[in-house]
Amino acid sequence: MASRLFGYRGIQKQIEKKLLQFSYLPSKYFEALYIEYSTKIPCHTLEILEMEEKNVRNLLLKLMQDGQVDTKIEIEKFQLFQRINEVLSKCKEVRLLLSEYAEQIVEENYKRLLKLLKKISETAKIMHEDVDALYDDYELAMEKAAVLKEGCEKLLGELYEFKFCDVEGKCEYSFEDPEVLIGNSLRDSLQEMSYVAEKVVHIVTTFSYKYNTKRPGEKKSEKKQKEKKAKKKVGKEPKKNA
Amino acid sequence: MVDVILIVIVIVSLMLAFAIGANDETFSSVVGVKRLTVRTAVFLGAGIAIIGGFFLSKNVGETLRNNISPDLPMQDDPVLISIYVAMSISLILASVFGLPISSTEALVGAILGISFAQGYKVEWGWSGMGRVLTTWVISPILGFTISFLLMKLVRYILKNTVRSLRQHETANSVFGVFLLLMVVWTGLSRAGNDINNAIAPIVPLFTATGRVGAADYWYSRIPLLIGGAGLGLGLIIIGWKVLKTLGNEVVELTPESAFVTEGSAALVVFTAVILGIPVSGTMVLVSSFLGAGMGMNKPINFKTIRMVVLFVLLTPLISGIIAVACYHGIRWLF
Repeated sequence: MASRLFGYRGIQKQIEKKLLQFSYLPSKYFEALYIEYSTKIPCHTLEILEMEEKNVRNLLLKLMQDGQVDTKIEIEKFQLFQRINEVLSKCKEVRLLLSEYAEQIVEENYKRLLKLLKKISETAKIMHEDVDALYDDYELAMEKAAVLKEGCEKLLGELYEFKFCDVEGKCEYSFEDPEVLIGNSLRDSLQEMSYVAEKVVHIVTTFSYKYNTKRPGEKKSEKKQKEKKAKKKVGKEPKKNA
Repeated sequence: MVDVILIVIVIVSLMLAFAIGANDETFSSVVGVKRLTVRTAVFLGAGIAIIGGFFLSKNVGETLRNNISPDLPMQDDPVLISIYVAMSISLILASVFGLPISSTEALVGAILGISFAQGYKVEWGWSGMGRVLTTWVISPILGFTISFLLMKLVRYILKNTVRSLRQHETANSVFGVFLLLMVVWTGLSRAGNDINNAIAPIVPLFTATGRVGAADYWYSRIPLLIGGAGLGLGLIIIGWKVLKTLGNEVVELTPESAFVTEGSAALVVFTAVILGIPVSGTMVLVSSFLGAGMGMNKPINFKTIRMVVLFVLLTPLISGIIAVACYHGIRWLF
């Protein structure tokens, strides 16, 4: 009860530490994938990272359950955790597909894929920096979120090229092509990272006293008013025509 | 006959203590920010009510003051019982609906009801109803204005100091601790004040015992313990509804807004006491919720507010009708 009275500050600090550790894992994971597939030397880094991910995730879930007081801030933090977790689950999907299809990918596409893995690892690091900045400086977190979204969009554009090119450079592909399968997983990872950026922006705008100046219900009422006006106009126009 | 009346007086005293406890909204802000669960809040509140009632009640045995209808014989048993029953039923009724009302309102309603029915003169000047009506008008205005301004000030300070989620959580934690301390203090002093009204009629039963020194002191405080227990029971059995309504259904509270709500309510009541301006603690607190909500640009549940206002307006009427009915019932029985 004492912990609850003090707002679970001790637990919140632990959650912060573990959430930052958790958000760094995708970057490490893609980096490890890049190294493993560029050197073609299998190593245990990925297994170690998966174990770390499992431990941190379980610990975070336990901490969040222990410190649960059902306030907005905790709900938002849990949703942020969920989104980072989604990024990690897509990372593992990429690894599975790579282990199965890497050898079937033509060399030119393979090189592209390696470049993409490196870039995605760098983008994932921005995601970690964004989460870190959320705890340190709202302004910086907003900047990092914008950079992260931009990076994700850029990479999604590059993925578009990657998945459409086949052996002969033709832009025809099948859904069973390794490039398409891996490309789709990479796209999912990037989209999840983009969602993390959106969540960070949402948290900042909700909790920052600088950004949060409008009433939460205000946007809805504005929308309703616009809709009403639109309906009135629609209702009036036929009469005029008549 | 005398014994029956005595038993009835003891029962209605306990009933009033129970009703005051049932309508105690002191812990609502702590419940609103989820620092305490409703269950923990009512049990903690009950404990505080007993401690506050027992140790902080200064004017033991002070009877209900009546400046509204000076000719009304307040010490007359049927009148006293009717007023107590009317107050209790009004408070319990509002509590069942989860709505906080001022016990002064119920008292004034009961006194006015019996005075009108029996043809006693009502003092409408400043010393009587004028003062009471001023209280009812001033309290919400002061509560709302001070908490609105204080909320704006706190938000301005936070805007320039809190720049990250870490700082936000630290601020929440600090505000939460201050809030709890403030609420515990308010609960203690409130129990000390409220309990007097309820136990006044049973105090004579525990005085003039022939005991000396400490024994007499502790014996004379037994009514306070009984009253405190009644207050606590009311809070546990029905009071949670009021805590839930005010804490969760009026406005979405944050630790800083809850702190502002309690702080401004305490500030207004304290300043008013020093300046001699009559205010109602309940009205100030409820309007402080609104002021803090408006001050932090949060949507306010006006449906609940309408219900609270409706009950505030109806309480004197309901209390008056019950008092008259009860008075005639007692007269008919005895």
